[in-house]
Amino acid sequence: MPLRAGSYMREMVFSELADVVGVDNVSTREADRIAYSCDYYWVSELWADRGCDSPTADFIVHPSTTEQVSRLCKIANHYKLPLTVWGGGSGSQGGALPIHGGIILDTKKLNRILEIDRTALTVTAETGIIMQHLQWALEKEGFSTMHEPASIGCATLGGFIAHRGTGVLSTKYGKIEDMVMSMQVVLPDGTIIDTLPVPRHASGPDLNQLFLGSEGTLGVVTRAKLKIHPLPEERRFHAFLFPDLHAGMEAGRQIMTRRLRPSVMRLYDQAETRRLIQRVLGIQKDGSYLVFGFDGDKDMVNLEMEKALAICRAQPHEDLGREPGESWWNHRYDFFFPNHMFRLPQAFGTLDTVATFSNIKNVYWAMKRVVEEHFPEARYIGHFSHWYEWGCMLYARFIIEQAPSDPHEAVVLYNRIWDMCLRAAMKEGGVLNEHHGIGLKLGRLMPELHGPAFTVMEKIKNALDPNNIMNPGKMGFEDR
Amino acid sequence: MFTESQAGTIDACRFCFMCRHVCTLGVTTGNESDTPRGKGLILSRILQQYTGWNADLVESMYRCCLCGMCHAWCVGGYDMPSAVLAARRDIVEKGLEPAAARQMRSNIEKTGNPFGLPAGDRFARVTCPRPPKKDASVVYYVGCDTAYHQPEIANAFIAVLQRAGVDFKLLPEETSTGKPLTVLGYADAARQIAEKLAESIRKTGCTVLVTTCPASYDAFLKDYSGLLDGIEILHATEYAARLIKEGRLKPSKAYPAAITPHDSDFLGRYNGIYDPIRGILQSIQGVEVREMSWTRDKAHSCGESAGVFSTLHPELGLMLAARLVDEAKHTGACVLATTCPVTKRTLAAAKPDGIEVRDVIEILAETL
Repeated sequence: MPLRAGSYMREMVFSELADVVGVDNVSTREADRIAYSCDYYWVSELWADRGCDSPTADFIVHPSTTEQVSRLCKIANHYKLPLTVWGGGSGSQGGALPIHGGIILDTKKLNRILEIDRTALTVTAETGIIMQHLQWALEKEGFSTMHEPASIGCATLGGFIAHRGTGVLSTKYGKIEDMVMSMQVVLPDGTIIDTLPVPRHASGPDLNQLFLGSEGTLGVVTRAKLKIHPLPEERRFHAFLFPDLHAGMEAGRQIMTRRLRPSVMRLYDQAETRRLIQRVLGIQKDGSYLVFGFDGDKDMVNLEMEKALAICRAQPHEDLGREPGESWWNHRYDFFFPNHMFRLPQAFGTLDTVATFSNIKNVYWAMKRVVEEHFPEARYIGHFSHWYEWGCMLYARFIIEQAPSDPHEAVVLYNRIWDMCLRAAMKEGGVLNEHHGIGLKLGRLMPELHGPAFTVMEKIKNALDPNNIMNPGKMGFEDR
Repeated sequence: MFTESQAGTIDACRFCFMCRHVCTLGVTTGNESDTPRGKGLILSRILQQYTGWNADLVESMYRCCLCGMCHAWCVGGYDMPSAVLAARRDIVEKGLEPAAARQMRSNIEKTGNPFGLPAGDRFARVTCPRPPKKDASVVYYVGCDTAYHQPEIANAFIAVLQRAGVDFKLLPEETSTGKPLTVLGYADAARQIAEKLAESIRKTGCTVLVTTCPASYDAFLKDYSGLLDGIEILHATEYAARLIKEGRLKPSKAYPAAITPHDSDFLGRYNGIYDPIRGILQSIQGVEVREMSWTRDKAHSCGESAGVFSTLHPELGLMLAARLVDEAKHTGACVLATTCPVTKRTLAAAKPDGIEVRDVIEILAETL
């Protein structure tokens, strides 16, 4: 339903929303419409920078209870208004952009910590809590979620759940989908459901995994119970420089396939190594830089570290010792402040993907070839920073120093790089994304990635959200 | 309108989320336009002339308490409060400031205080047991909030000065420093008041100017450029800590309490002064200093801004106060010691339960 500014239907909807959350928690102010028109998606930044017509919501609402979220979903369904959930708004895929107007549902007032279970080591919290706030509160009690992404201060717990987010300690502690025990979800029709109290069972499919990564298209996750961990007695790092990526990858693979459990492991390609070594060590060196860390009880760290060092030393190497890793840990968020981070007028994209050890190097080289052979204005860098027993994630990036001045031309170029790189990655056994999600940015490639399996997702979407109110136009689902 | 540095800040902050979790107002309201990123997005549109000021955007610029937390947190050192202040000056130049801002300006120009209370009542409740000396080299600038709303702070500081044997005087023609006008964007009006007040101060021949008000302290130091040369400017906590160190002041009575110190925005983040309040508390027998998790340059703010924020947005001021009280209570302290009258008054308005709020100078005076 179009809600023309000044129309009385707009006022009627406003009143209904205000009846749910209070008049102070509904906004149609231009200041808010601007602030919610741009997330961390490069195209939304470009649009803002160039003064283009950015997508804006008709209403921004701030519910503070699950019941309010339920009532808001019912209103959205009644009027068939798009409802886009906004946590921190720091997603890089355009997932929180209100591309069809309607309602932005900001979750940040759903920010209570409801229970810390010191016996089972779990925490239950509302999903609008900024992850760093949850983490600080747990640290005061001697615990941690061990979810430590660079966006920890920017993003909400719900944002990580919506996009299957990860943190730098994922290699030992898992991604968010490994941390979630159970969730409360408001379905598009307003029904409030709870998933089972434990995530391991044989009582039907795991509904947690249905909503994890659904990016606000299937409902609103309002509450989650997560695993927590005691703060480790010891956390220790070590760094090596290998002559090339192949040697570094082999060391990393062996660490994982020997079933050691580093909490952190980061391997940088030669291009990124040059940049990183210069920044961290202040010297110029060529090669492939690997830093890893173990945490936990001191004697366990000693043992695992000893075995990992032996694996690395069996490869041609330069031993850089502990300091570079410790320095990186202490400054791990600094690189994301604007004086260090890529930003306009640069065009840049993070092509994070994941594959098995058998395929991941081919994925790396395939995307690198695409960038270097087809886009001479771009450079390609990459690192491998989330490792599994069977493979690892590639955090590849392309960077163009000066984006085309014409926004249309810039977006055509940008999307072409994405399409070509990700098709090359998929051909070699990679996937569209590892931990940032799909959003608006990659939705068009979802049917290609999943093949006939995508129809399963579409049917679920249609069954749960027949009016297509929940974050329409994202994830590759039907647009409005 | 914006300096190169401010334009650089807008350019950097508009797409950056890295301080949103520490932004005093942003965390409290959960509203994106209240964060430095939100401000940056709006100001970027203004700067690039994609839009002009309207009531919504103006209101947003006055919904910042200028606490400086974002600046203190930023690895790149970007200073959004400076850009917001520049925006307010632009808004004022165009005559688009909120009515409440105009009212504050009018009050200050007519009565010398932002409340519009009679100028003649300024020192009505400030008492000096011994008359101040006319040839004293120390001037005590009381400040509007203290004089009109919390004379107990002034009376405590006067007791401290007199106990230390410091000859001091008040300024009979004391008015606002003009700091609220600076904060509101009235640069020219603020300068006019500064010139007039500075002349009164210079005429006294004083060598030391001391105040219990952090906003006034910041005004004298930074906004009165070239007007008070040769006069040492001190906050009352600095001066009292110095008197204690020199042995001129010795707290003799015990004050058995766990006290948590609060760092004022204008003393702390704006001027790097953190130690005097702690030095004073540690000199008092029986005091157990309990630090908040958020302390020194990362202290929670109560929206000082020379009283502007809590005047324009009393409901938001109460929310900030509740947040600070909650943080203070986590220490287990029974007293929250402040150095800023605006903060003390904002906290009092929130009716804190289970913790007493006192200016550290009041605590000191009780122990002499």
